[in-house]
Amino acid sequence: MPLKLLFIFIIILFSGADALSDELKTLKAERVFLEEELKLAKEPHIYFIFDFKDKKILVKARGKAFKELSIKDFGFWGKPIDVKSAALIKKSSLFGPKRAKIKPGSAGDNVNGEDFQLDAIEIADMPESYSLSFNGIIIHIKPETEGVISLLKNTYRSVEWHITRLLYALWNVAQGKQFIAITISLKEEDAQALYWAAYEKINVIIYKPD
Amino acid sequence: MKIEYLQSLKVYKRLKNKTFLKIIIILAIAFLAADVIGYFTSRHSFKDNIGSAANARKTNKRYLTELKAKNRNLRGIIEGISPAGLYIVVDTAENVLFLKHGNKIIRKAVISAGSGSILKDPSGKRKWVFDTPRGEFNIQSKIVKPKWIKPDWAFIEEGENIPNKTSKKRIAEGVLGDYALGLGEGYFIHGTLYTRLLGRNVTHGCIRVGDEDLRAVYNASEIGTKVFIF
Repeated sequence: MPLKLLFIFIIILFSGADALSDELKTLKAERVFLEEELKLAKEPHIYFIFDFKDKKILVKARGKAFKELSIKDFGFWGKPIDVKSAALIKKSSLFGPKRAKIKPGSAGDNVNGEDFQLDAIEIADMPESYSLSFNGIIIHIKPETEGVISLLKNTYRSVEWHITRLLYALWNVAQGKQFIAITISLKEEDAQALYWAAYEKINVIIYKPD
Repeated sequence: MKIEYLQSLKVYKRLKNKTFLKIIIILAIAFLAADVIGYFTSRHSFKDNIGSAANARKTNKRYLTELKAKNRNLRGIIEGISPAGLYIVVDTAENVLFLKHGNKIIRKAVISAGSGSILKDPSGKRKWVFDTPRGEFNIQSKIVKPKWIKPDWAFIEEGENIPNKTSKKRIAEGVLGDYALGLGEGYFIHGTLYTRLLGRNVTHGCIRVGDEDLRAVYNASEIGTKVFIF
């Protein structure tokens, strides 16, 4: 009986210490995250939060979330990420949207007619697979797999991404920079909405407590 | 034969004795504990270590409480920055406008935002990209029966000669609906003649709203009301 008690005491002692240090770690990460968000919330700009803890992407301003996109799946490659805001340098895709060019003198052409054709870029024109580049971090967005065609497309995208990622990694290593790659699967329309909302220099926080 | 030999040994008989087994286990734990104590005492005195471990635990607990309070406080500060009263949110991808108070949606309206098209001056000197600007804005003006002062691009788009800045040709009445809310730099939330295009990206950067929704937004908002566009 005293032996059993001794074992239980040892287990409680160690598990208690582990739980305490885990909670401390989480709270510390959360504090850094909140401090970073506070900096962004003070500015009159839209920003994104990539929250891998709650698996969602938030479009925010002044601390208020205006849009929430659910992360279906994700993967990390490279060193652990510091919780820090970063500005979007570039968004790139194989088939990006093309802006329509207005021909001078064509304004109002048949705007009320049945065969009126809109010369605009809309959300449906946005790619569902693309990359968002930050300093040393690349986020690869792809749609979640639904059906055979989507599976084939995503297999092709995965192969393409693996090659691209390797090239990026080599390029960064050659320059002595660190490189982190993140893959995120979203619903197709959410991937398109994110591409639409992401503009150059928009700030993001990547929050992934260990 | 071998089994019988083993069973005849005194050690085997002793191992069968539960009290003997308990003693062995207690001794093993004692040796292990001594080993651990030895490891720590080689670096610090045992007394110090026990004391610092207990202190660390106490400190960690205190730190945990402090961190929790700090995070709560930070969340409160961020919440304090958030728009408290009425504000407008425009989703240019979905072409919707929300009139909001806190987290509550007061009204949802279908709108038309910028087409993203490009227009080039035939002279090649100027270029316009018809995007709705993104970010945080304030309502800077409220106008009833607004008149549109046509900018240069409107004449280029229509294939007309550009009149001088004060020309009456620049004034167009009735095309912006009954109300307009100015966001600065020539951008407005206004009405439209092309209601069937609401929900599509067709504008030159302004936000077009249907008549009833526009009236509601106009009446609810004030100069200084925040407008968030993404």
